[in-house]
Amino acid sequence: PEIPRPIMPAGDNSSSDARILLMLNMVTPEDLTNDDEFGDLYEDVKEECENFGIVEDLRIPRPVKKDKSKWAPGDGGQMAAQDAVRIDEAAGVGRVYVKYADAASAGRALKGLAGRSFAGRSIIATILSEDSQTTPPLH
Amino acid sequence: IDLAASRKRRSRWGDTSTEIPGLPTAISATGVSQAQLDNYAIHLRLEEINRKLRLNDFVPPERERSPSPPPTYDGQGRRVNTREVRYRKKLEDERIRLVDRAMKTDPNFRPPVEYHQQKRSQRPSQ
Repeated sequence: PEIPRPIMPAGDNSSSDARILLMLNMVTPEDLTNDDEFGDLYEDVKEECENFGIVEDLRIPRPVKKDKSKWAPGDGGQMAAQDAVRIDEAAGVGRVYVKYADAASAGRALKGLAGRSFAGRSIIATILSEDSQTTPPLH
Repeated sequence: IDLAASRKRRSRWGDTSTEIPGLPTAISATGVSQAQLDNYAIHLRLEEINRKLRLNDFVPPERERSPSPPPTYDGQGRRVNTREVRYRKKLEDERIRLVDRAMKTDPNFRPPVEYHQQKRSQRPSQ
């Protein structure tokens, strides 16, 4: 099997035209379930990200709605719970994508936000190019 | 919906940034798959949790806290669900979930020793 490349610190991005900031270890499914709390969190993230440049798109994928009727005890309920986790992982729940108007803003945001604490979690940040296969797709 | 000033928003942003040696937070995505990035995030979070528990640094500052549940007491009248107990439990539970997930998705993953100890103490054998 292919040996995966080790995770490396971000190098010099200044010559790149990539402008999507991906942040990890920032939100958990529990933070995103409640509509009010999600709206609150979304604004909190948006405001801070706008300090680094014009934000064209901000995506914080949310977990699927848990249908209570499918959560009855027994095999059916168990399956539904596992399916929900799988669907959430595939949908990129837990990631935060910010598409900036230009690469310079994305670079500044990377420097400014990586390692910052958000609700007690240290943000991991990286820059993705436009042709990256992101989940969900960005506009 | 009224989104005006009536609702007080709490900011989740902290000022301090603490790097864990050997685990950079500003990383390069070149040649790295999304799954690998997610695995790295789990790995870093586990280190972060271990560090918080080791340093007894797990009660968040007041503005990040959620409302406390009503107190519960043990047979001796001692409070059981103190803030310390609740937040420690929260991190320990998160650690279990992260390890379970990493064992499924990351073939190179080795669970930390605390994981086995905790699993044993949480689910006593019948």
